[in-house]
This record gives sequence, structure tokens and C-alpha cells, in this order.
Amino acid sequence: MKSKWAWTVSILIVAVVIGVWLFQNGKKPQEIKIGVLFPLTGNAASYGEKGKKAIDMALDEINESGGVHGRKIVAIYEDSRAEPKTGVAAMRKLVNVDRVPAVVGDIVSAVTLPAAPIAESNKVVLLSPTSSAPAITNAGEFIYRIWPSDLAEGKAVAEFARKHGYVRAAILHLNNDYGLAIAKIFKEKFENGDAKVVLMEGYSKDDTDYRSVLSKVERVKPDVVYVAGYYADTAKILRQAHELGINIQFLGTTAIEDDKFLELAGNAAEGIIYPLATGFDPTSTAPKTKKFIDAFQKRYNYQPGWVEAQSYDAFMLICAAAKGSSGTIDGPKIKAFFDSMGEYDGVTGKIKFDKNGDVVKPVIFKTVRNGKFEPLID
Amino acid sequence: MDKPYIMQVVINILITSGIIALVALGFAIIYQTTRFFHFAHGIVFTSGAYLAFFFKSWLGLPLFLSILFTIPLCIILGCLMETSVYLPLRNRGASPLILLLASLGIYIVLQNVISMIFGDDTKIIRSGPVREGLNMLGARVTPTQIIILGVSVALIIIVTIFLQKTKNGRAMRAVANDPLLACVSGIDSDRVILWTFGLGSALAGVAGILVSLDLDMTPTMGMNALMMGVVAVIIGGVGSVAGVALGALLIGTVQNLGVWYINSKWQDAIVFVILLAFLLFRPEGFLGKKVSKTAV
Repeated sequence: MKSKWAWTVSILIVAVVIGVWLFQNGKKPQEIKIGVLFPLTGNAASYGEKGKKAIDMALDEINESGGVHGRKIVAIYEDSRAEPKTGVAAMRKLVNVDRVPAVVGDIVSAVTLPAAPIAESNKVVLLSPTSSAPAITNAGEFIYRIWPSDLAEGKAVAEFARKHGYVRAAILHLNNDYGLAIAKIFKEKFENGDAKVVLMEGYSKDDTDYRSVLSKVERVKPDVVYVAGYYADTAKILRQAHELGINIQFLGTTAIEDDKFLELAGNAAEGIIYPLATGFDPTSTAPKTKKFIDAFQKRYNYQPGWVEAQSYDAFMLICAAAKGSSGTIDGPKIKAFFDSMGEYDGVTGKIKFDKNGDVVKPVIFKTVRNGKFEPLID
Repeated sequence: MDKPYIMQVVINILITSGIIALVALGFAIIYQTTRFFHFAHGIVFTSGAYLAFFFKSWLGLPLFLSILFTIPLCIILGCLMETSVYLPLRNRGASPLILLLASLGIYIVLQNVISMIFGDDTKIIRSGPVREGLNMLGARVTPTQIIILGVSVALIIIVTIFLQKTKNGRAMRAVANDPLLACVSGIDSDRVILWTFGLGSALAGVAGILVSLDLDMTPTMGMNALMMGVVAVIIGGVGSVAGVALGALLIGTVQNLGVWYINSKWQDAIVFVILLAFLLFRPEGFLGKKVSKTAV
């Protein structure tokens, strides 16, 4: 009796599974699936949620205007929880089960990096909207990103310093992957002929008292000090330097553009110069950007920020690649489109990929004037 | 070292050491009578900073009043830990290891509570523009730093006098030296321990407030301060205020000279190298006396 029941149930289950599979397969030619690997829960969930909103909006826009080659676009969301392990499992599912040609993700570099080999070996394009880790540059042929590598800013600052005739630079860097990588690239690009890095000191993220190291900086008499860190430590360094009466030009990272930085450093922030890769500008009057902001505001009742804009562009770029290719859409075709597309006009400005799949963005320099972040006027 | 910088480094050393000494002194007083590692001492330090921030920034009270309200609350916090956690555990005959784990638990819970209420980002309590420090013999010192120095020196002296001259102070030393004998001579050791928690927590709270005035605050600030304090106690030797103060001075010196002569990223590592050296070659500390019986 029991075994008869078991048989019936198993046959029913198999029938349902086959039915669903046939149904899905039957539908397949009409839909183009695109994977989205975002942290939808966990520590970085707020980023993932924001990005998802922008992609939902992009989806509706595409599908309301008739989809791609008459086919509907479907986004398959997988939660990475911003954890490498979970992210890798989710990526495998997107590649092996859903068989997507391209994946947008991840927001955080810590997941983009381990997901990259899976994309690479299955010839699936992985396009990260916001990952900045330098290692992504060489993560594979199929790995792209529309956020500049951290190294780009170290290089830009070094070139800026040389152009402005600084010859003795001191570097204070946060002693982690981020700070160390940009400090190294700065040193490499800055040192040439007369120009020398006269002091390079690392500090840990828990340090709060920088007075001794600042006295050491003062003693070597640099004409410029590059602080390669985040906003809180840079703010403390500037404040203590001001208290110590140190009057040297300071350079900082893009990470300091945060209102908390101005609050922490106060008037000591005045005059610091830092680079900003042109990206999403909420005050932009470019028609495409303005249209995006208005539509987003209307739909979600708040102003989109950089995560929303970057995610929107990443998803739209893949749709554009699908539009630009014919026949079955697969990874190699999307890759071919990215490699040959030249400049794409996105809501975050012009997007162009270099041979490593890194975005090429013009860099501008900004400073703090009268308690506000403002473009630097040479 | 070039001349103009000697003064600056000396001043930096004194300020760093002053704070370490306050934390270390509070820790040593409690350790001496209870003989266990009161980790939660670090969170009393953090609470000092955040309570002052709460009164000043959230309730809008003047800085002076905020500090005045904060110190008694730190004392109460320390005493509550004793009466609600340590005392019941001790009465059940818990070992110092159990007490240490309990105090680590308190530390983690309260640090998370602070994170939840105030957030993980840096909070500032000072106000007004950042000014250049005053010129003192070629060194730059801010008024806040002068206050830190003054308060630490004053408190070290006051605590010394308290322990030597007052009845309660002598009772604390009696319990520290021999709890059983103290008990026999009519001293209520639980009451004395409560006193030490109050005194120790007041010192930690003051140190927390002072640090937050100079270097701002984050919820994790307590652990590093506690670690340096503990090392100062071990180096200086438990049981002598002068020893603890000397230990703090040594750590402050090593930290700042380490930055000067080696590299700032080795700052903390050097301190622990010194600690290992002391544990291996002079476990009783600078001024500590060799004891034959196992104390811990």
C-alpha cells in the first residue's frame, strides 16, 4: 500500500517537473534572461535594494517599448549577501541553471572577484556596476565594470601632483588593500627625475592619534602630502595637522567626498584637493540623466544616488548589447559588442571600456572651499 | 632627532601616557581586589565618551554639565556590573576564568548596544573651528591636551593619596593583599569590591570623556584603550600606583618613538613585543614585588 502511494506521488512529481520544464522551454525563445547578482540581504543589503529598484525600472522601460528584437527581457535576481561563498553559489545557479548570457553584479568587489572565474570559464559576461578593487582589472576576458579601479585615482593624483610642480611628496596610507594599492601606484607614477616620495607611512584603521607621524612628516619637509584613506581617518589627520600648525598642501581620495568628512574635519578640510572620476551627477542637465532622475523620483519618491544610477546603466548596457547582436544572445556576442561599441551614453556619463574591461572615465579635481566640495579652479 | 621636534614628541608621549595611565589605574584597582580581568572596563571608557556626547549633542546641555552627569553614570554602570553579574557569580564560586568570560560578554553586548543607538561612524563632541595649538617651547599643544595632561596627573595623585590615607583606601589595599585576613579583621570585602568598581569606573569614564574631546569617538574605541591599559598594568606591576603610571609612560614612549624611528604601522606591535619581554624576563613588573604564591 505504502509503496503504491510513494509510486503515485513520485510519478506525479516527475510529471509536474517535466511539465514545468517543457512549459519553460516552450517559453524560452520569447524571453531573454539577464542575471543580477546583488546583496539583497546582509550587510550591504541597502545597496542591493537600491540597485534592484533601478533595474526594475529599467526592465519596465525596455519591455514597455517592445523589449529587444520583440523579445521580453527578464531579470533573474540572486542574493549574494555580499559574502563570497553565497555569491559564488548564486553565480553558479545563474550560469548553470538559468543559463543567462550575462550577469550584472556584484555591487561589492568581495563577491565580484570570486564570481569572475565562474563567468570566465562559462563564457558569461559579468558586468559590475560599482566594484572598485584593482584585482578586477585582470579578473578575466569576460569581466567588465563601469566603476573605475581604485588604481585610476592614485595614478590621476600622481599626475596632478607632478603637473603642478610638486617634487617632494609624503604618503600617509591606510594599511589595507585599498590604501596600500593606491599609495603604491602613486609612488610609482610620481617618482621620476627630481620628483620623490620622501616618506611613506601606513596607519591602521583603528588609529586615532596621528600627531607623532605628522611631526615626522613635517620634519622631512615635503611640499605635498597624499593621504590615501577613507573620510574619517583623513578628516582626523587634517584636523591634527592643523592643530600642529602644519601648512602643507594635502591631497586626498575620492572617498572623502562625504558630508561626514566636512563635519569631522571642520575648517581643517579647507584646501584639500582630491580626484573625482566623472560619474553620476544628480544636478546634471544632460537629457538622459535628467529623464532618469525624474522617472525614478516619480516611481520611488526619492532622488536616486550613485548605486541606482550605476545599476541602471549596467543593466541597460547589457540590453543595448543584446539589441546590437542578432540570433541567439550569448556571452561571446555581448562581449564582442562591449569591445567594439566605442562610447555609450549612460545616465552616469560616457562609458567606454579599455582592453581589460575597465571603464575609461575622465577625472576632474575638486577641493573644499568655504565648507563645501567644489571643483578646483587652476 | 632634530631639536624642534623633541618637545613635540615629548608632549605627544605625555598626553598618550596620561590617558593610558587613567585606564590602567582603574583596571589595576579593580584587578587588585577581585583578581580577574575586568574586560568590561573598556566599555565603561567608551560609555564615558558616548554619555557625554548624548548629554551635549542630543540633549543640548553645556559641555561642563554633560561631563558632570556622565561621571556618576559611569560609576553606576561599573557598580551595576559588579552587583548584577560578578557578585552573584562569585557567590556561586565562579573561577576567575568564568568572571573573565562574563566580563567579555558584558563588553560585547554593551558595545553593540552603543553601536545600535549611536551608529558605527565617528561622532564628535567638540565644537567650534579647529584652531592651531598654542606654541609651547616649539611644540604645538591644544587647550584640550593641556586639560588631559592636568587631569591625568591630578587624578593619579588623588588616587595615591586616597589609597594611602583614607579608611576606604586602606580597606581596598587590605582586601587586595589578603582577602581572608581582611575579612577576619572585620572588613566587608564585597562592599570594598563595590567601592573599587566605583573608583575604577570613574577613572575609565573620565579617560573616555577626555579622549573623545581630543580624538572623537567610535564604539570600538574601548578595546584598544583597555589593551594598552592592561599592558601598562602588567609592565608596571599590579599593586603600585607609581608602577602603573611608569608602565603607562613606558608604553606612551614606545608607541610614539616607534612611529618616529620605525613606522607608524608597527605602533601597536612594538607595545606587545615589550609586553612579551616583560612577561618573560620580569613578570612582576617594574616595581612589583616577587610573590611566591600563585595570585591569579
